[in-house]
Amino acid sequence: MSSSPITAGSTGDLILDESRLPRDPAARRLRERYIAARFAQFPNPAQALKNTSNVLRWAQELLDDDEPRQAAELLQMALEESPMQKPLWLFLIELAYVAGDPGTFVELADMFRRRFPTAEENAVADSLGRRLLPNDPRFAHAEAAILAPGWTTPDSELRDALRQRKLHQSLVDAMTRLQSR
Amino acid sequence: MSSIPPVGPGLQLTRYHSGMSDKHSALDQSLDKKNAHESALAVGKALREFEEFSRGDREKFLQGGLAQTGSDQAVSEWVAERYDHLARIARSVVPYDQAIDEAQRKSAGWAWALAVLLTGHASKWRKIAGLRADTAARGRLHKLFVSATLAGVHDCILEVMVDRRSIETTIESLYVRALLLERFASGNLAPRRLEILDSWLLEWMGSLWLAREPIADGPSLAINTRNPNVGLTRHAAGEKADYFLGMRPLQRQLDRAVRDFRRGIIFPGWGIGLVFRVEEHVGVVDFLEREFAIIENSSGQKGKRFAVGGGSAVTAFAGFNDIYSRALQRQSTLSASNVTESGAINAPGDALSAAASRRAALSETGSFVEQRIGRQPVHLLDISESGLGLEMSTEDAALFEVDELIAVRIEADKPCVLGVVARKTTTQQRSMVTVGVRVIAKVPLRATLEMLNDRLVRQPAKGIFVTGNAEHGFADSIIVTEAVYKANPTLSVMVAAGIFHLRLGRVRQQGPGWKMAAVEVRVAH
Repeated sequence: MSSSPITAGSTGDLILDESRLPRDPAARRLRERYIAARFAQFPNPAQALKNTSNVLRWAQELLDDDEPRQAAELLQMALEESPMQKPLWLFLIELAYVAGDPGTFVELADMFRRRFPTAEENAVADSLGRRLLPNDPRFAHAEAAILAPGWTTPDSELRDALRQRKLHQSLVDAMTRLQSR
Repeated sequence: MSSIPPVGPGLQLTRYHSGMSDKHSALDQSLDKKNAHESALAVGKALREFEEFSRGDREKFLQGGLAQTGSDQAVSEWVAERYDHLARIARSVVPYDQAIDEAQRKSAGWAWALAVLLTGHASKWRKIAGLRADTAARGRLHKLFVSATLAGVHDCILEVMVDRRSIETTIESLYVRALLLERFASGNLAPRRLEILDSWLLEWMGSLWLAREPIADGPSLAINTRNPNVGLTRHAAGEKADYFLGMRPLQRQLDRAVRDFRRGIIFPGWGIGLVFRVEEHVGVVDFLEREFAIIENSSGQKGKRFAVGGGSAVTAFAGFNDIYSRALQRQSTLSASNVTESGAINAPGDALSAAASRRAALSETGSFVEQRIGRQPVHLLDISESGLGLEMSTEDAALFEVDELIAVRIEADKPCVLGVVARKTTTQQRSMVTVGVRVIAKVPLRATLEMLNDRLVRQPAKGIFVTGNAEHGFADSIIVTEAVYKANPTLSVMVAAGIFHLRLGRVRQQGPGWKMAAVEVRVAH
């Protein structure tokens, strides 16, 4: 995954709440046209944002395409449409953690806790928070033993990251050789 | 003679247009250039008048898309020429050598601001009209900014008018806007998107400020005001630079623009771009994200930056087959050492790999005997990390259709750059065609593949690897012909010392006869 931050800083409106979603039909249409154009590679994206497994798969594809910001935006928009899609929250939190973006991570973890106060995943998020922000008192009591959460990879997507990485490294070596010639 | 020209079905140069040109010439001659303030006011008034006069032409030209006629093009070149002329006049009234006291700061600053603003407008419209970039523009901008700094007016807050909108800004912000337009508009940004991008930059004036020290927080671009050939560029250790532009504030601005679209609001809600389809606005979001990612990923990699400037002669190749067989002859995934030591690479009993490497070896040997004949030299107009602009004859340009693959050898004995033709414009002035190219790989790799089927029948196939930035490798792609993609084969390929069996995944980009698909590695030896 790229180390680019998924958003540039915490702004307090990472995910629009229901009250800020457009109600005016013209604005609603513009939002839908924006979604359709932004995610043109997917079929009917504006209509499919409530389909959690679709959105998860598409977000993973965007990460594969090295488009972490677009992946984050897709997840955010899907949560705006239907905020109870728990796996999407977890995917976003993991994205912010992997990207090393503490502001976004804290904001998302807080939003998740408010929406799902008793969810067992809060403990995992705290553990990630402690590793990302070791001096932050909010995460001081978190268990440190939990490793990478693996929340998001769909079971059907059995892929061999090592093989893929090996090809990538071979291609990079070949490119380096050509450039130094 | 400068009332608004009549609007017909297409654009046409009329006596009203020549009347406007005459008016600018008369203004140029009549100004008392020693009186900077009065002269700048007169130029500002002429600019507003010209913007009113040309707004319909500009809007119509930009909305015209691919259906533009020669007379539309002539009008766009006229607009570019008018901005150029007004910029020249504005620069001629700047009080470069006068001592500026506190009371004069604002009025003197306005002369500088107008000159910088108009130099930016002129660069933009040269790009929109498909004209050659003015190679002296960067040097002029540096001179204006440095002299404004010496006069102590560079950070003076001023108001300028752009298309009826008053914008609060500084000379420094206008200077950065002009340099960003120069950088981002290189080659591949279509006119409508360039116009949208400019309205965003004008709205983001508060984020376009420079630091004197390298930026520690995130990626940045640098300026060396002593080098008139270079504008905003990546900074590499050891290179001279006297100003730095942080990218984080711009990324935050982009996030805000995106949030507006998510709320169903077109950002920024003014300007000619307001009437363009939402797809054009999304195209600018995608473009800026790609540019920011390139800047972020390549910070400090001096060696990977294009080392040539505009104006040089280059060689271009069109289409998948020509690129594979000629442009990339010496850009194979297979090194010379692999070929001579093939026995050491192939595992015993791996007949497939041995055959693949023999074929590849023959192919490599062939590259040294075949005479490499490129197309006629074409000229490089401008170049950035993500795109380039070429100028060529109409005959040559017929080979390069929009969405077609193109390979460009920018420097002799260096790898060819691979891209996709993003736009074509025929200029009226010199009957030449400018071709905008979106770069997809700076070092594409030619691969000799074997298609495998269930009965272990093997067929040769051609492929071009496009390596992604991400270390996980899932962003890597391969370009194949449409026929190969449709066959949905397992492909065997040798890369450096490894042998891989691949499947073709999702199509990431495509054009006539070719598809760029995600690579999925199934076997790696």
